[in-house]
Amino acid sequence: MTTNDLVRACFADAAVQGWVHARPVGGTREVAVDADESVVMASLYKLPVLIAFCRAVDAGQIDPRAPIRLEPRTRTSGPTGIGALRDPVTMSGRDLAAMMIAVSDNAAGDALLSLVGTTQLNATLQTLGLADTRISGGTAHLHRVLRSRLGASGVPEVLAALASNDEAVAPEVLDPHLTSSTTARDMTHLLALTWTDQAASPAQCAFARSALEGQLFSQRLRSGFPYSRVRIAGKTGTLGALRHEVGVVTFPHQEPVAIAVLTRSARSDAVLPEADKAIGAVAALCVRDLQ
Amino acid sequence: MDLLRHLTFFVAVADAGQVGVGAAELGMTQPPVSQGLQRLERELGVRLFERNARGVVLTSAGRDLLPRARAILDQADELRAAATTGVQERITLRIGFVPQIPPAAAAEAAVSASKATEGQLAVVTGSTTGLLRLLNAGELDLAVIRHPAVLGPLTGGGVLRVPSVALIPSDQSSVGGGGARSSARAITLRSLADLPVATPAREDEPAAYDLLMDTLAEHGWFGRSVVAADERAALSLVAMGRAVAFSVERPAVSGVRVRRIDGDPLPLRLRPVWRDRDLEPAVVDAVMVRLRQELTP
Repeated sequence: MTTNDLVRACFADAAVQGWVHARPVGGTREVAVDADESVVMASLYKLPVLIAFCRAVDAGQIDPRAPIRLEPRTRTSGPTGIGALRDPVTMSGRDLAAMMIAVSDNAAGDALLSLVGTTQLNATLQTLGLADTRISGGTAHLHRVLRSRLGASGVPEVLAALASNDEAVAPEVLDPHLTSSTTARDMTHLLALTWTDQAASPAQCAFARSALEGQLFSQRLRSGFPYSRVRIAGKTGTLGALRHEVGVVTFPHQEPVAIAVLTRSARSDAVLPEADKAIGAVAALCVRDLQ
Repeated sequence: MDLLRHLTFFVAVADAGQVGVGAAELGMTQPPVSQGLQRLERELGVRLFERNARGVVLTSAGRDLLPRARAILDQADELRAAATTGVQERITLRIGFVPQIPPAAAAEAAVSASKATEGQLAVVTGSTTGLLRLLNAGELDLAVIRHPAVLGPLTGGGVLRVPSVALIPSDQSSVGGGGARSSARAITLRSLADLPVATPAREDEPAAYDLLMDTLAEHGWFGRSVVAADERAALSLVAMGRAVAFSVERPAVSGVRVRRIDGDPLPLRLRPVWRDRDLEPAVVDAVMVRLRQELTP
């Protein structure tokens, strides 16, 4: 079987639909499975925000050490990080960036997005050649869109509706054209630029790489490489049945491989370890093919 | 004279080189084939074969006519094939049901769909995985599958939640609580403790299978499963005392007790799926409304 066949079989066994792109960060060889189809990106939008933040620092528009105060009433809530806290928090922009990546902090993500600006963020993506990525807003925006589409009164109702196996999620709820979306190929392109110092200055690319290496969740990409000598950097995205991780896998003395594995599970359950593991397994198949 | 029949003899004997062998190829005896060839030669006014001691040899006229005879037989085959296809083309909707849907409910739903399309229906039964494959191959227009399942490019409608009951062997008095007096009482999944659960193979419906096993575990049941492709197989296993099963029907089978399950945690979730966005919504509605009428209280 070809790698693509193995990838599709892995997705089928995990009962998920999947989109994959993988490439060495400096090379042209690739593994691509529906890599150019648009997918709702969920918290993957925080990766472009990180890069746009780095470029704004390079341009002198943002002081990465300047303190930013986040009030509980106005910041975006979430299950992790500052978004899960009760009291005001003051942090530098670069520490917010680290929080945004390591634990997918919604409060940090939306704060940095508004600092960078959605218009400038999309312009940055165009400059960098991500033609199929469009950020229409952050987590607060996504929650507003979902609330109105599902007719839900609050975020908990939205998440409950997305987690029920007794109802099918209507296609327009997760329609990539109606919210922030990307493709697997665009994500590995952005990662490759970051790993080859082309996404921003070398210093800021190094900062972005270290932030991504701080990724705390190990259920997805890392589950395919449970080896301490293999370095993993990544960013996850989760929304209902959508489970994504994009990142870079580096074996000792090997060229780093950029990988994007985006999935949508058949089941709506909020916890599906088999779907998470499929992301790691597919990433391992890709790396085996490319190294 | 039956020209096609006699041309069949001509070609078979020419290919075989002997009348007897040619006749055998046709599943016939030699005399009627010989007579048929003689009639054909009289009809056409030419000799087709020279008979000799080892068999028959085509005459020059026979060699000349043989390709034309083959062409006529091929065209006759095409005519028959086209006629058969014509019959199939009158089928306006091909619809598939998973085996968990009882035959009567599926038939009622098919009749409703037939009225909605004012056309002929073809109905097939298959696993969720199998029906999705047929839809993707364009060999099916609509399927009612077991939710959840990966649809990919296919379009899905709303989920119909059908309550299920537990089927328990009568001789296992410890399972699900015994005694005739308790038959109206709902059981808990945990009380199914020791028997395996009969279910279709995981590859027939991977997501629904995983959801079943996770739901059982969530309710404190950590047993194993045994493969039963359809309700007949499952019911037989239960009647033999070898498994418990879950069904949307209440079958009256000796050796099988039917019990409601507390909280109805294992409903049959059905979902219409189709390939073509042009499929009339009225057809999907007709099928699902009828299934709802037939299967839900």
